[in-house]
Amino acid sequence: MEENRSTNGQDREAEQIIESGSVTKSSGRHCIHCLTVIGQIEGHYILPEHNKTTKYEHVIPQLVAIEEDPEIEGLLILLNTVGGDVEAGLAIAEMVAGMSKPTVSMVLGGGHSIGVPLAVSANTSFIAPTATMTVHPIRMNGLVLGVPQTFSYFNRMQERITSFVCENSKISAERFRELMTKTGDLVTDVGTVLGGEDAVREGIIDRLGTLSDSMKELCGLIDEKKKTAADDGKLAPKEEL
Amino acid sequence: MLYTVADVDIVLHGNETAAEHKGKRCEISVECGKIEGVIQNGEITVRRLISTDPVQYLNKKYAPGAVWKQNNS
Repeated sequence: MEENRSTNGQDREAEQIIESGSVTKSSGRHCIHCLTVIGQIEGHYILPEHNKTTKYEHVIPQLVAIEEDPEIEGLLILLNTVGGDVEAGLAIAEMVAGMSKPTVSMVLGGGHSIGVPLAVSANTSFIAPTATMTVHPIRMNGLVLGVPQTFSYFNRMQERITSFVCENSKISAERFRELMTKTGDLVTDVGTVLGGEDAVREGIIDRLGTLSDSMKELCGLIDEKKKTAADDGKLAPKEEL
Repeated sequence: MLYTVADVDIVLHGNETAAEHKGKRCEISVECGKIEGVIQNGEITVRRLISTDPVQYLNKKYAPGAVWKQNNS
């Protein structure tokens, strides 16, 4: 462990453990926050209690606090989600993509459906070799009208997801749509199940990796950001007195 | 609109009857805003924090699912 931990960081960590048991990690080289996205992404409706959920109304202000906190240097997102509400998922993904602090995501177990945009929203994404990601079309529960407008609406919703994923990863929109509508891969559905290696090969996820790889990458991004800031500071013209 | 691999019937199962089992809703005023909780078996479980201070959302005592203790306030 490095010896350059700040006294402030140590005090903060001790206080957090005593007061709140928070998951902000500062005993290592850098102070990072670990956000776990599990179960269903809960959106505008409260899901029944048997679901494990990630509540977007709690995560969104957390992301604001992480972005604002001068002591938190980076964000590690651990994903094991079956998907959930489209708009809540996209909202969280957009928030992560818009952060100025270094972010790394790690897919463990599964990062399905709306978990895909969440995984690609970070600066660098990792997936465990045993993890899977399911890419499939959007479904709707409740009354569905059998009119062309319904399909147009579905298409527009899917396009929101496709465009976000393609803008934040290396996969093309054509290929993503192809995976989304593939037949023969899922028993009673259309879509594709991608294993860890497949997700990397398709360009959705950046690298196969482990927790230590993710941490190493995040520390590297933080160091790089600090170096750039220091260089910019040196190059910035001095204010005239 | 749900985008999930989980069967929607399973995800939403019990939604109609869930309200009967949820216990009594309550609101507690705290320094940074309000906590919405549910009283179950004599304990208050935090459901959500209503606050304009984002830092408080990192505080575990306000996290959804946390058991609220009176001396927290």
